[in-house]
Amino acid sequence: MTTGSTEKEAETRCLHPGFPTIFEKSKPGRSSVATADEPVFDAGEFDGYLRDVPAELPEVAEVDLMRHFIGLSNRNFGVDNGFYPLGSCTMKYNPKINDVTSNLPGFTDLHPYQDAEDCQGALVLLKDVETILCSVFGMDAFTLQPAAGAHGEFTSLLLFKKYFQSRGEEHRVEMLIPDSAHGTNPASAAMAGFKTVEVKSNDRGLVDVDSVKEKLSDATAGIMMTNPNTLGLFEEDVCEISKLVHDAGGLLYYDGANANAISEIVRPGDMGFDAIHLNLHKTFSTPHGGGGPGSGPVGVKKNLEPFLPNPRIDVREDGLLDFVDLPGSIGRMKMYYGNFLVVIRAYTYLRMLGAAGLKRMSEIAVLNANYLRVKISKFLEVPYNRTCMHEFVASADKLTTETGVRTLDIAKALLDYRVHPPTVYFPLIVREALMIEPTESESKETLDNFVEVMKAIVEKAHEDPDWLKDAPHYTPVRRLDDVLAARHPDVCFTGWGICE
Amino acid sequence: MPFVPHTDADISEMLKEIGVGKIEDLFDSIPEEIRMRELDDLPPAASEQEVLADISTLAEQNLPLAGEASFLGGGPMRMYRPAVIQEIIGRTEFITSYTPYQAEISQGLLQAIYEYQTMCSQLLGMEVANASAYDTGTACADALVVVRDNFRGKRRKVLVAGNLHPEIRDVMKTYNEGLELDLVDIPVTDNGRIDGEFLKSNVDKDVAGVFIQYPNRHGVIEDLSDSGLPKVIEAIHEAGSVAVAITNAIACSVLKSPGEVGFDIAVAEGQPLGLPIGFGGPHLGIFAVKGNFMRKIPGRISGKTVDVDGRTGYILTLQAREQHIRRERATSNICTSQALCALAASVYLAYYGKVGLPNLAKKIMGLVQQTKKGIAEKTKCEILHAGVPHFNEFAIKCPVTASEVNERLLEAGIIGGLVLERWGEPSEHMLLGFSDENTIEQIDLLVDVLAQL
Repeated sequence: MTTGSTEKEAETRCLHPGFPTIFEKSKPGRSSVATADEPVFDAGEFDGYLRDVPAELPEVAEVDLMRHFIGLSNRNFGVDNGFYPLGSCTMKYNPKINDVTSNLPGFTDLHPYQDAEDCQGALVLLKDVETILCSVFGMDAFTLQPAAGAHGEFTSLLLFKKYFQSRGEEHRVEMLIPDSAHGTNPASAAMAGFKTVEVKSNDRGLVDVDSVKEKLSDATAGIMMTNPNTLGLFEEDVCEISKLVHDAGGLLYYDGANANAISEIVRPGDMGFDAIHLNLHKTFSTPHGGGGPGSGPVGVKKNLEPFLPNPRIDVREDGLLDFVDLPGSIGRMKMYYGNFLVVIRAYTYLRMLGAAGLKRMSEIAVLNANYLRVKISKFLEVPYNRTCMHEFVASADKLTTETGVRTLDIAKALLDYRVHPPTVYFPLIVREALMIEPTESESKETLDNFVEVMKAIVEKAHEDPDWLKDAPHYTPVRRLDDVLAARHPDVCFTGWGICE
Repeated sequence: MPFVPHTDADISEMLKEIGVGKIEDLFDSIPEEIRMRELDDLPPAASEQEVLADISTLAEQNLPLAGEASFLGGGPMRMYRPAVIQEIIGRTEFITSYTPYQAEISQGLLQAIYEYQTMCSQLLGMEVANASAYDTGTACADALVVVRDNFRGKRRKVLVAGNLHPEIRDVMKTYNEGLELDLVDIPVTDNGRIDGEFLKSNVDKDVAGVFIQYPNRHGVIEDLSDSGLPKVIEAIHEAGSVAVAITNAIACSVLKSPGEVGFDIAVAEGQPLGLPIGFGGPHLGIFAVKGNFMRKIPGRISGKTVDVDGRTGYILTLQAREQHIRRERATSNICTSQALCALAASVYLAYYGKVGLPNLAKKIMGLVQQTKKGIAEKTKCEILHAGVPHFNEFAIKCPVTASEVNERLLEAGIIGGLVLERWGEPSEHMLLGFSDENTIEQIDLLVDVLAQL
């Protein structure tokens, strides 16, 4: 979207303040805390060390602070506000009990340097989660260390690297990555020092076995696969690919962003994967927090276990659990063991569901996705229109040709219906993609309503395309000038005294 | 079943619409040989009430710092958390939202991040901050990537302060397995500071970056006066290298900020800004840079712009750096970060504000000064690096092992300091950490117990 970005328009950012920043609500001398008494402090010791100009932090009373942030929350949209079918993000309902358990003082005020004797409850919980995840995903060991999915990917790839170093196979530098992969896959591979090699998808939307064969060589370190893949399709040839890669001396990595479809149905360990990451903030119901904190545990087979990041949790001679460092480890990925308070939320969910509940979760997630796929494919193209798993990808390509209305316009129109749009323009192998993941949380009525809304938008595309190209109409702000934002970045408030 | 709204009738109707007989048929694409034949042997499903009871029992098996007199720091620090923070970060519109890709309905979080970026930049003396890294350790590792890429990988050496927090150092080392830079430790002098002369004579055209921490692992503040650290930074810049500071956000409300001292990049731990220590996470890595590094940094950035009607709004910007656009050529793989923690930090900083935050910092520094004085005058403990100022922590050498000292303190109702043996130091060394939760009475008691050793 462009509106012609000029310096003059940059100025209008000042002229139309929108919802004023907290800095514009500040008044010298005002504060949420008492500031009259000077603390007991000898400044002499710090002569020449103190800052000359104070940091321009806000000066607001508590009531104004609350109104400011509540005002901001009113300009935001979460799962509790409405349907959120954001593909590959698994925006399921976040049970409120998770927040209660993770806020127990016995957990929140526990210090990672306390003696093991004082932390047994926390360590037992962590160990339980590791054990449960091993079982559900068919792996031999899990670390809860990584803080997010991409962090888990990177961890897995460092494990691969260390594994090859331990075998004197440093020449294995190529990582095979399907063209349908999440962007984090190639980015993580590059960070771990691997060279990425793209593998094509076939006409059925699956990783092409011949393409894998062609790319395998002595330089192959492994392959990164998402299964079900980003089209929501199960990689039916996964066992054959696994054999091919292993026979070539490579390892298999499983991107667990899409694990919501497979719990208690099929295990990545049984598919032949050597390492897997999970997103507890997707599959296991922990809230996404507007972009974190998440949690990205990594599970491995025996061959990679000696290299897992430090620290590990193990049983001491006296029977207590404690953190230990392993000599062969890749090292620390993060200062302390995982995003613990997020892990508690996932544990709460796992305990409430049990094995049968996990299976039901995956079954209903798949049922919901297929129901939407069948109904939406009646009026919008679905390129790989066969039974899907937890999500499917529709395409507005034909609609764009016919009406000029693009996927972006559909997404923006959905905002006016108080529906969060699907993931758009991903995966890259589908033009004008709309990646739709309803999750198991949503009722038939919610899905039916979404179908009606989508249908109305497609009809509108033929009748009044300009209205859609102008959408959204009823949101706090309308389409934003991203070119202006990038060309003349304003990423830090500097307007003290300027905009008054 | 909880969290699934479907009735049996719903399921039947939906299966009929799809055109299959039963749910299992939807999984036909999974090869038969790998399908699970029976359920895992997991703990049985339980009600919300039962699970809460079980987990509460686990929580009660811990000895949290809550309500205790504690001097345990070493990085994570228990601070008082004003009530407004939980109220705001618990708002469902924030906590249940995704990364704000759809700006029009995410203005709340985008503006909050913009304000967070501003407050962090102000504190650290920088011009741009991102929307957060996982913790200080990973923020430092991110900085390592930035300094490497700044020279397109041509400069291979990075100098790292020998007094850097060990776990931050460990994370940098791990990330470096992928970066393959040559990390060289800067020696530490007797006063606990880095050897500036070594640094000046070793920073050359092969050095991509220099990492310096203040306050460092022992709470020691480098010489921030004009003849001290700023001169060292000048030498770093003369060699064309990038200077990276690791600092404490609250300390920067009083001390010269990294920007004032001359650093190009600053990272800081955000946990003390309203986040619980939480047994190590989630914490918050604050990452900020001078303007010339803006397009090279990792992570999300919120920018101010206008909408089609000319209204001010906010949007994720400079995305050409990011993995979902640039894939293997991205500045980082980061996707999910610690947005809600950044929001908590914003609320914290706005709550204490321009005058309240420096007051808070001075209160803690005052407690440290009084304790140092008491220990020097009344005890046989030796204050390591006694001649230099500290922020919220300092190290002592005890007449007996630090573990024994902690046992004595516990008998007196005090959770003692960090036993520095953990970091490979002599067993008599202890790090004492102070926060706004400590009182004069606690300090008097601490000194009394130490005096009896």
